[in-house]
Amino acid sequence: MIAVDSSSRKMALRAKVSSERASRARTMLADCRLCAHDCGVNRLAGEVGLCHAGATARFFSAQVEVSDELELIPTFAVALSGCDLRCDFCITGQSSWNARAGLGFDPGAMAVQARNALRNGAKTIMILGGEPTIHLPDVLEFISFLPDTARLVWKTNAHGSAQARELIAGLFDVYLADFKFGNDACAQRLAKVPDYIHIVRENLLWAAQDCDLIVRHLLMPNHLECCWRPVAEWLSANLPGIKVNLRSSFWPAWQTARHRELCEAVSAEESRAALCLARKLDLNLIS
Amino acid sequence: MKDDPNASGSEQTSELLILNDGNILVHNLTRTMAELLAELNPEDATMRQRARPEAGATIRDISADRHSL
Repeated sequence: MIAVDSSSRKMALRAKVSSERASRARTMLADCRLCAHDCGVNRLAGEVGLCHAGATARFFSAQVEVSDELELIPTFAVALSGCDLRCDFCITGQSSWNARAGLGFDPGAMAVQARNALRNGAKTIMILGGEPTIHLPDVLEFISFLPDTARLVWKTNAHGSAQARELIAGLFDVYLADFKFGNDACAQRLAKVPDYIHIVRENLLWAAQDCDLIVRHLLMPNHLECCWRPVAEWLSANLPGIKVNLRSSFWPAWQTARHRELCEAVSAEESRAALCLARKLDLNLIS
Repeated sequence: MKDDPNASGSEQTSELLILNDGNILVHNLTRTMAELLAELNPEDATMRQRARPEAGATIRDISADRHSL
């Protein structure tokens, strides 16, 4: 059994544990079930699943940023190419839909950059995408090169599998999750993902036990009632007090032209109504 | 632009979308860009915090990444 430091909620000897798990995760690529699509393809043999990711990760951005939650910034954010969802409104669609975008990810070299960023004042290291879950072998190897004291943020779409949860358990300080849709129909239509609600809820409930959970919801134009309301009501009922970041900065990007209702920014009225609902439900809003 | 290899090296990348109501949406906000935006609109408390995150104060504002000029 692996020791967990209950005060920091961080695993003792994280680097060592990550290294061991990285090897295990790599063998799992032969029958890839890291995300909830459960494709079962052999990525080591060149097969690709819905994410189209190969056996090794690529990245399209690695820099210190200040646009995330105030308690996390400045953060050294590493964005890995490729994703298991197909959100038509993805602001990084070109790189998130294309697992071959960007540069090859060298875990050791990236860890050097991350350590430098920490020395220069970064408070956290954030691993994101695309979706980092599909690149867990390289992510775990990256973590194995980081100091155990580094504060790590797992920025995810919360569509990982039970297998992925096992691999990341105890390693991260913050699980920063997008809860994008309030119903399966919107999820299927806008991101081509089935059974979304059940999967995300399962991951959020797990994450709340594993580390500090922050849930983000990007308010989409004309989706207040069908998406934000059910998300907010579920969070209020099932994860009371959890930190919630309600974002009104919807950016009509990528393939949003496919959906008439998304071809605009969120109106001030919708933002106000969304905030009003959050307050009524006593959500713990952060920014 | 985001999959330009240069964006992954020493160069830093932020993206802005200026809406017709004067609001500016920012993606991948860097400290440099935050300092610039804070200077352009000193009234924007959120942006001031992002330009100097070590101040660390927590505010509750829906539009953390949406800024008016």
